[in-house]
Amino acid sequence: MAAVKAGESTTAASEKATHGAAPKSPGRQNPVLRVVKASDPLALAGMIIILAAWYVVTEQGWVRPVFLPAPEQVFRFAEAHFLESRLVQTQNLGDGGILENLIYTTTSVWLAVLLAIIVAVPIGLASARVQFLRMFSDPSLLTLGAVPVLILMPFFLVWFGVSRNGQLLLLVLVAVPIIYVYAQRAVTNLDPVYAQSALVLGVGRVRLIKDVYLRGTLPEILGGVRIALAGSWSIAAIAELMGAPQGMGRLISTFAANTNITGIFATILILAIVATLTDITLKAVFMFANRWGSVNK
Amino acid sequence: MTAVTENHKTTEQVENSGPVHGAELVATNVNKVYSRAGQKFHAVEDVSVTIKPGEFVCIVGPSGCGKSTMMNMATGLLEPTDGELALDGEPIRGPSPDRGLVFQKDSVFPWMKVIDNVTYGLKCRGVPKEERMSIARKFLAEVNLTHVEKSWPKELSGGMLKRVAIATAFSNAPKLLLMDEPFASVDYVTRLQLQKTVLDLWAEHRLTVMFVTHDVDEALTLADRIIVMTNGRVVDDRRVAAERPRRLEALSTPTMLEHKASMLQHLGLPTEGGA
Amino acid sequence: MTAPVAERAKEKLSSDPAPVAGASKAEKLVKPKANRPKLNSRLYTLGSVLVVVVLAGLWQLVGIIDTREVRPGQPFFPGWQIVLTDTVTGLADYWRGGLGVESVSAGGERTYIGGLLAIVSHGWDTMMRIIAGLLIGAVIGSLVALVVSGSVWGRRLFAMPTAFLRTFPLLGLIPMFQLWFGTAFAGAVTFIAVAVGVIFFTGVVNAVANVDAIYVQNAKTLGARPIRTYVTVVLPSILPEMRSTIQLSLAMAWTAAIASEFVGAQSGLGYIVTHARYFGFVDRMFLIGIVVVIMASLTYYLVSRVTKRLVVWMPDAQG
Repeated sequence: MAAVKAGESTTAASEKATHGAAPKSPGRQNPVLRVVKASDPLALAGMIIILAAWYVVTEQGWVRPVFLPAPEQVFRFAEAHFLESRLVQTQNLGDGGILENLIYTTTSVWLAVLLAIIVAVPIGLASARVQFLRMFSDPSLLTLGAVPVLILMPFFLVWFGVSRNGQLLLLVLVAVPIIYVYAQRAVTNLDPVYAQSALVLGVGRVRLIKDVYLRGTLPEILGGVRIALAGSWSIAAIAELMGAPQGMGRLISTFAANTNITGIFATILILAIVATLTDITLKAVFMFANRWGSVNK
Repeated sequence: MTAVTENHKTTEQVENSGPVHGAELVATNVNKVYSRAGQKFHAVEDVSVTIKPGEFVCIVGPSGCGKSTMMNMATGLLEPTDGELALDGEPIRGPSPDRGLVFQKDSVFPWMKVIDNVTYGLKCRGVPKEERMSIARKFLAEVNLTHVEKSWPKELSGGMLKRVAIATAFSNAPKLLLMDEPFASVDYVTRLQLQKTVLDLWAEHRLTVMFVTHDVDEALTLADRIIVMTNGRVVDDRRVAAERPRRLEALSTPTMLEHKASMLQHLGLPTEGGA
Repeated sequence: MTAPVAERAKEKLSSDPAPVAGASKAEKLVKPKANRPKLNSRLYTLGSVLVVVVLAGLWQLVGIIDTREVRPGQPFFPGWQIVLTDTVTGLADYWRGGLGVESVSAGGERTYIGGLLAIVSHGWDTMMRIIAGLLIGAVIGSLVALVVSGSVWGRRLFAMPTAFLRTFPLLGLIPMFQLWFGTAFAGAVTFIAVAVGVIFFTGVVNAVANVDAIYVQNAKTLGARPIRTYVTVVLPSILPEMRSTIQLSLAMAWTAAIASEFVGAQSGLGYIVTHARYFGFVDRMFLIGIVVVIMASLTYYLVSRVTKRLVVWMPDAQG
């Protein structure tokens, strides 16, 4: 970008004018392609080294399988129980296998973050401009972000019983403060000149919010959503561990009760892979939304 | 200086062509008072001026003299504490597309491509797509930016962004164009080119321009009339009758030097020994 | 000369010029302070107090409206009149005896002092786990990250594992940690340390990657060798970014501590909550929950005060 923007002098401009060629835009590339291109073959090597190390220590018997199962063991377990599993069914964790529980947990996480966006973005955006709102939203939401919200989970279990509701509410409460802070900061960082400029051009209230405040803050908000989402998987897992009808956390707790270490590893790794894939997807969305700007995250 | 010679229209050819499109701006006893913690500060004090339709007026003054406040009140972004501003007899209340503004800062929306920026004002006013595209393309051509209409603003230089802002303002067909130190942050050569662009557009469209600057030379290059403000008051109001276009040499004629010396004196600079 | 006076007045204004006339919507945008509006601390305090009062009142109200019980005598929403009296004495159940106050299981009475001692002793357990876990995790996480980021190769090799760690659902691994290290102090501390270590690791790796190359180049042109560059340029430049990492890791340490106490631990505030839940004592859970919130807020406040000096030299330091 710096290269294109190069000289502030119009020598560059007039040059472009004479040649008549539009400057090559880095933003015009396919965002998915950009993520792929940005990734580094060496990074893959790092992943392989870790897998190799895992293989070696278990193969050589340096770590007992009770503590760390071999990778192929974990893989075989995951394969055997992914779609259909007696082990899962006998524990009343659904009619399928790991996949069904994976879908349960993933749905909770995505749904909760979506709800959190709906709640936090309007409050965050408005709080940057409306002091009366901010004097209440700041203390409550910043405190919520600083305390271990997990402490509420046992209450939800008592009040709502073992259902998805408690987990959803917990996840929303974890995600809201993060997205709120990012939305608020995005408006604060947005130069007021854009809103002024829009007003001078004759916009109405709806357009001002849609075309200036929402579009101008979208990349930063998405950055916040990405962070909220990254943390949500952990919270979802522990919430399910404490009590849920289904889900990856429940799987882990039943496997733990039977000291099925291989099962625990398979479950957590599958969940981690889905979490990472979600993160990569969101990164691509972020890069697309930010194709005009220079917010780097 | 390729861009300048390339410009097909020169100021001589278009000067005084076409009907005057500009409006008359009248300020009557305008005051603006800010207060903080009980302390009051008179940003603009009892200013009354009349700017004729089609006139190019520069307001010159040091920072904090009230010229930007004056500009913001003319735009409608600020309301006067006392007194009234009116455009063609209509009192100014809030911003309106009748009054365009080119900001000192870069106000081009970075999240819209160049063409979407230039058409934005028209879009807000419900101009059909084809019409607004053709208007925008016309102005982009006039500021030599046709080749970047599909670019993101981040890909443009500072001077080009100013051109986009100018094209956006003109596309909206304002009767009064307000320019708030628009070229303060661009380099010298670019500034001269931008000044020429504005003069060409002004001559062609005959609108009223109120141009705020702290640069006396810039004012002498551009204006029909120069108003000097210090401490919130108008301390000098003069006509500059020099012929257009005013090239660099035109600024060193005895009349111009006389103007300059006298204005600098009003701005509080002792001119005895110096110039 | 009146100019300097006006200039000074203008300066004052630009920090917060509230126009005298009724400020229109557009007018608010023109105020220069709109660029970085901050909530003034008086409003923040007032807001906090009001929020706390409203929440406390709502709790009482819900308790009055909804009189369901978990089991006879144990309401879903115990009001303050219970939480501040019977609940405190009830918590004496969790006091293990000593200091002249006999434990309830050994035939002691349920007293306020016993309840308070229980809160303090279990709070102490939780706090010690957090502090130990934080320190160990911070040191090891940072060291590993510094070694990895020491070379471009290391940074590239570990980019993907780091990204993977960022989203890894670590809290789900608690049962593993308890199998590995037991459910006592060591298990909890190791778990907290790993959770904190991951945050420090990713935080430091990112911070090092974000160091402006110009500083490194500047040091090199001045003749600094790689290790000296690392110590004198890279380390100081990542400190401001470490502030958010420290705050984040503190929140994580609390969550990890509570989580490990929920699942398997035999002491600590989280343990009391889980234990109380099995018997339907919402009031005890509630009081301990409030203790956790207060303690967490206090540690957060302390850490944020202490780490403020990390960012003082930054041009754009935020309080």
